[in-house]
Order: sequence, then structure tokens, then C-alpha cells
Amino acid sequence: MEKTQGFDYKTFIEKYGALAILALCMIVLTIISPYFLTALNLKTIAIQTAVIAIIAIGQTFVIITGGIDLSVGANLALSNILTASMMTSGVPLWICLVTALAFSAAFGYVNGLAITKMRVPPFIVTLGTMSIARGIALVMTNGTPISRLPEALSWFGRGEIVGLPVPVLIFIVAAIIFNWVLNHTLFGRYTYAVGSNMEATRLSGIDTGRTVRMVYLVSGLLAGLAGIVLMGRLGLAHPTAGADYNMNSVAAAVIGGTSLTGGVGNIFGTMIGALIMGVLDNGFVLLGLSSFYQEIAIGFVVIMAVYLDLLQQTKLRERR
Amino acid sequence: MKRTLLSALALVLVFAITCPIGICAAKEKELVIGLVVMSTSSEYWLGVKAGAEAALAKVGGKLIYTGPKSTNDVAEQISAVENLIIRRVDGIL
Repeated sequence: MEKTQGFDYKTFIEKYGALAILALCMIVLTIISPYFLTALNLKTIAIQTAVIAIIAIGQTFVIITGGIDLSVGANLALSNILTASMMTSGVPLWICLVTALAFSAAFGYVNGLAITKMRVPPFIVTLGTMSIARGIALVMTNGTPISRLPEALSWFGRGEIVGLPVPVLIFIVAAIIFNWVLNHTLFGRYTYAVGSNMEATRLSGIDTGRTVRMVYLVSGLLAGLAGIVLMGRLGLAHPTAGADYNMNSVAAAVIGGTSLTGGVGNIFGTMIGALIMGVLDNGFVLLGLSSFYQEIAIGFVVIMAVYLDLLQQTKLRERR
Repeated sequence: MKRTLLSALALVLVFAITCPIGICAAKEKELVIGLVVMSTSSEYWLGVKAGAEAALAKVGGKLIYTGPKSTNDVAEQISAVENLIIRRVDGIL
């Protein structure tokens, strides 16, 4: 029925909905704005996207299990405040960085514990821990940011290795590693299994509780990593940092084809989702449009991307 | 059929959002000033925006009003300044 020869653009759009939207946005921006398609601008977009992309990797794991992590932004902020106060009191940088990762991972694990042991839904647990962490960060700092961080830290936000910005390298490496974890390890396969059918997974002898706890640990760990990049970029730690990161990381995952009902999703799609938002963010300023329009555009993109994805799934089901 | 409609829709959508600006952008040579504020929806900064627009109207310029939605989002402010630099505006406030 379908032509297999030549370039079937319809199948392409369905299969790679998010990628097609990204390409479309980039083509349109290149035509309209002479400032868009330059090496400097593309590099800037990649750097600006790095923090949210790193967080979105963890969010993808969580959403694949059918959960949601609303505490990533607050986790990042609290971890930043903790490590920044360690740095300003003279603790060696590497100890601070390890602490940042360990703290954020532990924070995520506590989310997982509350979800699996107390049986409170992920939405509620992470909504609660978000508020708690944000509150602690504000109490610790009285609401003021911590500045005068060590100069070496800026390498994580502004450094370059052979012309490639460090934040971009970090997010690419993290994406490759966690893509491998998701597709080639038992833990990764269990993550999909838990999201597809929790009960069946439990009955086949898999420790679902442990899998869920590990997934929230991964989400926390990546929030901590993103926090280090953010501190390097800003040169300060802010108790209210990352307020938009919860919804933006969920949006990146969803645009990239991750299903909120669980069991479906991949890291590559999420990265494309994060880049679409980065390109729109940048494009609207280049075009001289008020940032309010960008919110409207993001809304359309989220709905379109999910719709394209649903079409693809329905088609797969019909073929079976 | 449905798919053709869909892809056409997607195309129209992107153009509908971006085309009006293309027309504005065609009028180059006028002064373009970027204004980065702490919170784009705060009443105070909207007052500042109105003032900047009034001042620019006298000399025949165009204002790009940008910044984070919520206060204290330093990262978003930095991104806004970077984007304005790439846009090569004549000045940033």
C-alpha cells in the first residue's frame, strides 16, 4: 500500500515528529533572520539548552516509569546553595562537586523511598519535596544569592575543550551514557517494564520498588549535575534558581515522544525536545518579538508533537 | 489524506507565528534597542517598557523587550543578553 521507494516525507514526519518540527523551526528562522544560522548562534543555543537538557534526561527516566519529578528545580537550587556555601568557606572544589552530586542523588532517592514505601503518588511526593527544598534553600540564604564562587568553577559553564563548550560536552556525554543505560542494561529494561505494566513486572520477580527508587536517584543526580553547570555559567548560587525547570524538563521529554502514561520514551527524542525549546527561545529574540509569543508557540509545539506521536502509535497498533 | 493535512497544518502554523515578524524585520536601518528586564510581566518593568517605547518612538526606533517570566531567573537573563548580542542590536538596556 505504501510506497517504499524514494523519500516518503509523511512517514518521516510521523516517525520523527519532534525532529521534523525542529528542522522546520530552523529552516523558517534561517529564511527570516540573517542572524540565526551562524556558528556562534548555534553554539549559543546549545549552551543555553545544556542545563535543561541534562535535567530532561533524568525526567525521561521518571516519566517512562509513569511518574513525574516536580522537585528537580528545587533539588538543583538546594544542592547549589549547599555546595556554594561550602566553597565560600574554603572546602576544596572537587569535594564540593562530589557533594553536589551525592546530595542531589540522595534527594532523588528520598523521593523514590516516599513513593515506593509510603505509596504516595509521585506527583504529590515531588510537589511536597519541591516546596521543602525550596524553603530550606531560602531559609539558609535569607533569599539572597551566594556569589564570589571560585574562579575554577566557571570552567563548567564557560570553558571549552578543542572549541567545544564544556556544558554542551557534558550534556552530550550524559545523553550517550544514559541512553546506553536505558537500552542496554537490566535497570534500563526494568524501567520500561515498570512503566508498561507495574503489576506484571512485579509478578515476574523484578524488584519494582528498587527500580523506581533508582530512577528517582538518576533524576536527582542529573539535577545535581545540571546545577554544577548552572553555577559555572552564573558564577553564583541562587535559592530560587530553576523554578521553570520542572515544567520545561517535562515538556522537553513529552515533545520528544515520552508518554506520560509510561512505558514509552527515549533520550534522543528528549534532546530534540529540549533543542526545540532552545531554538524557539533564541529565535523569538532574534526576530525581535516579545517573549510572550514564545509561550504560545511552545504550547502549540507540545500539542502537535504529542499528536504526531499518537498517530505513529495508532498506526503501529493497526499493523499488528 | 489526514497526514497531508497534518503536515500542511504544521507548516501553516509555523509560518503564521513567524511571518508577521518577517515583514517588520524587512524595515532595517532603523534603530533597534534591546531591553532586558528582571521579569517581563511585572507592572514596574512594563512601565519601564512603555517609557522606552515612547522614547524610541521619538527617534523612530524599535524595541525588543525580553527577559525571564519570573524574577531572579539569572540564567534566563544571561541568555536574553546573549541572544540580543547575536541579533546585533544597536544597544542593550
